[in-house]
Amino acid sequence: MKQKKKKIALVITIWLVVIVLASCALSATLTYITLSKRTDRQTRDLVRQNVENVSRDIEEMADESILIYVKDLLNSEYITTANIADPDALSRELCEFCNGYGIEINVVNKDGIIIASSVPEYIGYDMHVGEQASEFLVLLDGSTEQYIQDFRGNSYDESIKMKYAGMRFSDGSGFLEVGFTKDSYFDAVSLQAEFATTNRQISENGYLMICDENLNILNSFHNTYTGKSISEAGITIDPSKTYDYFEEMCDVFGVPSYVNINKVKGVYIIGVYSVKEAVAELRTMMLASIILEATVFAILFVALSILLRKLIVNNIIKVNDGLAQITDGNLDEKIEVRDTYEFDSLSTDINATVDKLKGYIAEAAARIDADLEVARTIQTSVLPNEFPPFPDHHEFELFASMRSAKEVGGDFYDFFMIGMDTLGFLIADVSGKSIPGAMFMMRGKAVIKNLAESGMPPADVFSIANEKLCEGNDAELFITAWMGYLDLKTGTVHVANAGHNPPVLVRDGRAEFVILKPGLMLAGMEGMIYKEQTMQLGRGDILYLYTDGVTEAMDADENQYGEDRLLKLLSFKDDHPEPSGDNGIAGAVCEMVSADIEQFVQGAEQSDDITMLCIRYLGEG
Amino acid sequence: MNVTTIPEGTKLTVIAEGKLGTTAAPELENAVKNNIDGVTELIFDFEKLEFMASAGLRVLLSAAKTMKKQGSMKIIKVNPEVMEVFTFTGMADMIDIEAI
Repeated sequence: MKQKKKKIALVITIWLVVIVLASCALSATLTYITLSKRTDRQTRDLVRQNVENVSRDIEEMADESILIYVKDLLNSEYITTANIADPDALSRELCEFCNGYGIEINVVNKDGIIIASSVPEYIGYDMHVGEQASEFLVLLDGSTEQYIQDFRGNSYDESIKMKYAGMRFSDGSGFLEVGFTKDSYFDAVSLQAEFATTNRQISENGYLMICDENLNILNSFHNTYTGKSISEAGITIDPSKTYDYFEEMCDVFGVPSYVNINKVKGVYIIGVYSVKEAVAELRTMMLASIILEATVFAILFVALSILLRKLIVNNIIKVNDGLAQITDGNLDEKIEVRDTYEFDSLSTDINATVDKLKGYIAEAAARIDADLEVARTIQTSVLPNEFPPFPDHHEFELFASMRSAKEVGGDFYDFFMIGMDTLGFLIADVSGKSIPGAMFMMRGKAVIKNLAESGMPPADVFSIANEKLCEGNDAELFITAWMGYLDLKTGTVHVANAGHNPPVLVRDGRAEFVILKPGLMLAGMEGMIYKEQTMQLGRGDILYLYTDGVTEAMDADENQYGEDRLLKLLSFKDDHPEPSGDNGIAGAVCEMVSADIEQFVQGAEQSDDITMLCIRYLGEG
Repeated sequence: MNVTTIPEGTKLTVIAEGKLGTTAAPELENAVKNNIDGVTELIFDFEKLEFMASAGLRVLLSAAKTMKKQGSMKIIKVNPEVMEVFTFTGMADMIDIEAI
């Protein structure tokens, strides 16, 4: 079974689907990779940002709160002008005040000398002396209101690490300097830290934790975590290391998370963001992305399909329709599908090819016409056409004519004298056409004439001619023939009939077909024996022989001239008398029939040779 | 003209419908040629045949010659007009022809 070819639209659709799906998959994968990386980066940045913010807050506010403390102290009852007047008393008071609190208070005069201090040893210390201390001298020149330092060893004793803050007396008589130990400072910091982290989330799902140098959680968004050790949370902090926005991934309280650790002012700020939450966000983004991509690809697919149909498939159908017209036989049909370059080209090429073919067909037809011309020439050239043929004989009138059709039917007639007293005449119709028909006709005519002129009776002539013509008759042509020998003295006609149309005998104006038993047409089958038959012509009788080109002549509606019409035409009465003319009555009869046929067909194309032979017997004397 | 062939083992029936003229004769010729191998009984059914020209005679004559070697041939249901052609060409004496 022949495999049915797939439609081009189907093939391309299948390919498109495969490509689109593959592209979608590739695109989705790339998107996933990109988004993954982005999400990872963004989450890390987010956590870090939050840790940064908190760190900064703590830094600022830690210092700020200390300065506020110093300011409060400055404006308090402890530090008044009166008290400063008596520095020793003030010092004792300061010492009492600071006892156990881990703070140090120094009152410095405008010369930079500590005049009162909670630490007796510092009284009289010149701030100019130490590097750390001398930084505070800016409070004396009137340019600065307050000054704060980071934790460092003080000028008096490097090993004593304190954080100092100073504030100028409003009257310019000096400044107040407060020092904080780590612990006391830490309280201030942790207050801020607490403040900073309470109610503070990282986005929706992250949070912050603060732990001290002992690695205990001071405060967290999740209150339950407060007081726990950081290692309980699953985070390892090495106190000897610096933590400058340190990123890591670990399980925080059992939840895999992004972690960012920053150490500031002695506390560890820790940002935590669950990985699962980050991934969930990623999934949402992926889904949105895929849906968008799928939509775009779907639109692309539909658009391509439509485009394909419009530009290609429909045009191919149009070209096919045009070609169908041409193969049906309409060679003048043109293909005009010209909306794109390729189809324009195709249309032009097809039309050119068809034109070429038309040319070849016309050439071939012309050659056939030329052949037919040759055949027709052969045909007409061998037929005797001089009338009257035997002017010395007055016993009869004879006329014959053959008008060949375009297709050349191979009809012929012949007549000859056999001795002085016998006229041989015949009419014949060869079955083949064109050159083969013409050649067979010539052969047939020659064979018959040769045999007849020897004086052999007509039936024997046919019998022998039949054998001869059967030989080498590969084309299987045959010849119908009617031959008669007219005895000029008696009017007896010896006849041989090889399947030919019965001639018309006109006697006294009455027309009748001469029905004689026919033999098979010549060259039809070997071994035929033809029987001789006889008929009688009286004086004035007309014998009209014809081929089927006469009776089968057709008009435009394919109606045939017919035997009846012929008989009627050849029936002569008062209103339709025997014709006469230059070629005698015999000639006139032929012309009359020819004219009547022409009138009947009314210009329709002649399909077969119109051949006729007419004899009028006059008798002797 | 329409030609239909009905092969039944070694019997072949050829039905001709319409007018058997010069243009139609090759069709009949092909129908016979393509199916005649091994046929021992050839029948032409001319019930629907309106008209016959000499080109048709040639095909029938050729078929008759072939069947003379292979078996038998018969033309049946011939209308008067076509019968006349068979008669005056002498075919009626050579081939088994039955009138309608």
